[in-house]
Amino acid sequence: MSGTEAEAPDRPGVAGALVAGAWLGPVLAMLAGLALLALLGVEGEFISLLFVVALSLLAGAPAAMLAARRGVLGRPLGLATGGAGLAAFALFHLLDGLPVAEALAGALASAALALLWVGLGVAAGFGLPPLAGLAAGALLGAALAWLVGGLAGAFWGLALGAALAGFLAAAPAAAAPPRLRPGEARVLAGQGAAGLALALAVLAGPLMAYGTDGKLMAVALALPVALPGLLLLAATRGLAPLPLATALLGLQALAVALGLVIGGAPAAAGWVSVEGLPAFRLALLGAGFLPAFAALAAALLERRSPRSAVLAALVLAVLSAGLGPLLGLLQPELADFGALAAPVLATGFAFWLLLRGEA
Amino acid sequence: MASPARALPGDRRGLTRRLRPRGGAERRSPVVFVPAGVAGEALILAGLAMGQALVVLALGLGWWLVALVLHLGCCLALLLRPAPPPDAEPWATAVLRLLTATLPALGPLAIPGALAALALGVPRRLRRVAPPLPEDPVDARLDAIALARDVPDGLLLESLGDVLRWGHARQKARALDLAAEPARPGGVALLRLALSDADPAVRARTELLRPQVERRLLEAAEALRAVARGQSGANGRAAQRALARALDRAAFSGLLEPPRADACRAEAAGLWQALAEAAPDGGPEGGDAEAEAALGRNLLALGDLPAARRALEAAVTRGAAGGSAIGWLAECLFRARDFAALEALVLRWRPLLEAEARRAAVTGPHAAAWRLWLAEAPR
Repeated sequence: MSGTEAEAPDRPGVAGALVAGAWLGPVLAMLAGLALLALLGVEGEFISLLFVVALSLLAGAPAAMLAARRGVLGRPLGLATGGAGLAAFALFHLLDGLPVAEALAGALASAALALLWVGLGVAAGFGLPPLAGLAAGALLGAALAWLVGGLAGAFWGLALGAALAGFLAAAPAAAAPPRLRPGEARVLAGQGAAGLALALAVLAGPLMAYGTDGKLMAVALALPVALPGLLLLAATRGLAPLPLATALLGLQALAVALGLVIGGAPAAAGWVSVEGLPAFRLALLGAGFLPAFAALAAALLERRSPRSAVLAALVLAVLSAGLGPLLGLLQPELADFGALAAPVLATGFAFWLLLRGEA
Repeated sequence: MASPARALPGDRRGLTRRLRPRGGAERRSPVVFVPAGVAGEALILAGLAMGQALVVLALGLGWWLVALVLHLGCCLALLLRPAPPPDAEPWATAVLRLLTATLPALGPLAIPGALAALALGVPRRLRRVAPPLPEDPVDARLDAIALARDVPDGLLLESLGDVLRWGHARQKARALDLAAEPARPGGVALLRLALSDADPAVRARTELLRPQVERRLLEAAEALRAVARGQSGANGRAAQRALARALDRAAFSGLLEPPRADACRAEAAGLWQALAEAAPDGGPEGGDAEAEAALGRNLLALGDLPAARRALEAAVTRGAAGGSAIGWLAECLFRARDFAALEALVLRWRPLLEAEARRAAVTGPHAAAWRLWLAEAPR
């Protein structure tokens, strides 16, 4: 392979694990953070947690993609952790007016989660299971959270757990500092762009729902329905993309049906308002398509050039952010359909890109 | 798989393999909780841990400015630490490298990760493990190479290169270990290729092995330097030549850190210059073509293009330097953008280059350039 070509993943399923991880990681981090908050009896801090995870993903995903392909690069990692930490500190302390103690803990949690994404990228690229580090991080993080207490305690616990797990997962790649070859910067920039586009695709829907009509919980709570399909995609090795996407659609149909059956539970628990239930059901249907989209995006990412994968992810991001408000301008009751139409259209677009490349 | 009872009596090789203990814990190297040779790095980590403990204390007391100053001090100390010596333990160096990237943002939270990584050591999959099932033909090849002490360099490179291409993770690790053995100087070329292998695990393993090979190459040069110091006359020149060759071998191995490689090249250039000047200049048949060619190669690598061109032109004019010197001169002219001289060079040496292109040189470092130049130059 020449020095100017991208390095395609040499282990089957690496791209699938990376794309599925872009959804799995944040969703699991949110669940862990919510569990810590519940453990400490803190309520109403869902948005703070969402911003911690979102900032870490935006900063960490490009570095994680680079780390999975080329090992840990010091400067991108430093930029990712530093950028996530500074942005979270500025958001919490300067904009939201939180005290320094809590803002600092939130900033550290965001930086540590960025390191965790890089570590998980390394684990996917090197084929090294990160479970031991994750288990140790979860235990120590929960212990620290319990010791400190409050919102700051939850953030400190999340930060310690993520930092420990991320460091242990990323350390093997640090033993092989990549030597950049001439002309490789452009290729690496493409990989970083793929990571950023994936992060935008994951975050565009929830953040836009938060910024516009306040139906954030309906969109965010629908995402866990995609977990079975995403877990299957992350664990699958060597299945062709189209049969895999078909199998995932079948699996997701079952998960979505189950979700619709228990669809009233979030309203009963008070997480979603009764008016938001139709939007929640539509988001549930839309989230069912995410694993199929991820499988197709992974097949695009396995190509020599990541351009198609970047394009597919950006289309999902733009549709998730813009389709709902656009439909709302036409007719207000159509706005909720954006959460359903965006993943469906993006999956179709990724399917078209895949067929176009194979023709 | 046939049982030992059914093995043919004459098949001693297979029987020996079957009787070899394998499986379970005895196939793996023991888990090392405190790797040897980490004293320096452990000291740095201990200092950082103490500094960050003070940062935590300041944070707990609400002394934000004190915590910030202490933290910045720790970061500066880590950034400005001296470069690790060649014999530093690679895993500890890697952990400190990762800590350098994460400490500024994570502060005290990065320390437990670093301590845990140092205590746990290299992940099991990157460690050396015993060879797997002997029925695998790749393992049979590795066994044969391990038993044969004097495999020719070309065959060693080709065989181990095949293992890196077709073998699984443990076979690749074993191939790299074989290439790094002191008795196999030809393995350096494989390690150089493995540094840019597509498999990150191969790159990681090579990076772990690289310091010991680097140290060996530098020690060989140091031993020859000591020999050359006490010699004079013809013996001195022979010792100087041996030292210069060893320095060239180290500098162009591709395994040295760039500053060390440049230092070797500069020293080798001085030695080759002295040897070239000491040789009697008897026109095209006299002089020291090897010294001039090697001097030109070193100067080319150091970026002194005019001096490199003078030396390589002298070597090529004597005609005893071979295709390599022509290749270096062509590279020098290309980098100097003197394309007219480059075309004249190709035209002048066309028969030799075509003969080399027909032989093994088609796979050499300049093969692609030769093919291009021969195709482009007018007949």
